[in-house]
Amino acid sequence: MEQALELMALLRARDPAAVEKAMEIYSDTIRSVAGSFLDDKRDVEECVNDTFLKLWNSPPDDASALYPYIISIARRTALNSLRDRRRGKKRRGQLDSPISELERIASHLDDPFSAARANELKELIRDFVLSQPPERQQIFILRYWYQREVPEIADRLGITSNNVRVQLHRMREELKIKLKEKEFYV
Amino acid sequence: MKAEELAELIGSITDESLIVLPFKDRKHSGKRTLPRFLSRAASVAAAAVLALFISTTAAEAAGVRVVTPFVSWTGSTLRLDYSAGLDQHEDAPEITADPSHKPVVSSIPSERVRFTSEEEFKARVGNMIRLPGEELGLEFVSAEGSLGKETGVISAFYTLEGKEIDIDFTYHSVMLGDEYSSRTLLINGVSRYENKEIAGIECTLAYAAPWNYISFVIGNESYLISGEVEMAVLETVAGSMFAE
Repeated sequence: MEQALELMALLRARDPAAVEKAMEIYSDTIRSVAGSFLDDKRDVEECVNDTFLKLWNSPPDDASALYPYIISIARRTALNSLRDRRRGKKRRGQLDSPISELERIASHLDDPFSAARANELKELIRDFVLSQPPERQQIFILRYWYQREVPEIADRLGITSNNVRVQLHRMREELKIKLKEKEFYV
Repeated sequence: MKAEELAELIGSITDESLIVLPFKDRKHSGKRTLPRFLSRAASVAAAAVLALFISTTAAEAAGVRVVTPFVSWTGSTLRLDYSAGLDQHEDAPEITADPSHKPVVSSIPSERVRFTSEEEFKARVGNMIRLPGEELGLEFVSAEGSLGKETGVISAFYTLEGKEIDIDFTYHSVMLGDEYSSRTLLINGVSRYENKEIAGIECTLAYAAPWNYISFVIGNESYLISGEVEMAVLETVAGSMFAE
């Protein structure tokens, strides 16, 4: 937190040293996030640089929001880059995109949510993922956070695509049960 | 709620323990972090370039005319440093798949394969595993997996009239018992199971709409056929694989 406060002070003062400070603190994490979205090393570096530039141009309001804010920028930047590269490529299995898989859950959730209720839902999903064994955590995060395709996930984890699909199906069913217990699922 | 909104909500999870993933176990995937001296050099170079950009824009904002030429902050310096760092470290060891995922798989290293040509696929594995009958009109898309001397796992992807059908093959050096078809039991959310004999082979059918599954064992080979199709379609595919 001390480092975040220091960085915020530099950002507010529009001190260019803020950039180096931010890189010192967050480079490895941002690079890891970008690297899990993008295969090309140059795209990864471009994403990292984009992230810090956006942070400089538009810093958050307070230090406690700094880390999630930076991660959010990195994720959006990498995801946009990934979508640009996928556009025009022939994709097997358009029907099984991560968004269409989530549709089956989302269509049963109340709408609109208050900010507090949305945060409660987010915490439920987060706790659910944290409760999974490591491999299943990775499968869930790779599919729905990183929005990777099933064969890519299978290749990364050294398992078959069908195994990935089965695990995802199973986790979605288990998550539905949790959502019903907490009265999110109608 | 819209699916995109749910996806955004999931995307807002920022626990480092979840989103920072273990090192990729692929050859030539590169290091996640640069060697310390290069990391520092790249960081300083990037910071310098970015600082130049920032000071330029700040000066311009203050009404001062800047004569220093603007240097793109995505300039070549950073990329060259990073690329140079990677070139010196292209020695990532090849790591085989974790055998604990497959209880019968031996720990002997296997070869990772990927096929986008049906001819190549058939030529390589056609003598090792059973393939679906050509008369069904299945269109081959791709296949990937590991081939080893004693064990191998291949996932093959087909389409049939626009619908996906996946076939997982596993072969082993030892004969498998019927309990191995319990792989189907990985699937939670199955509405019902059914044991059925298809063309003389005992199969386990798992109904988990919209995906259905058929699992069976033949000697030292196990198969899991699945697809977003009617079970009868999968039964036809399975039956076409049993012909001697």
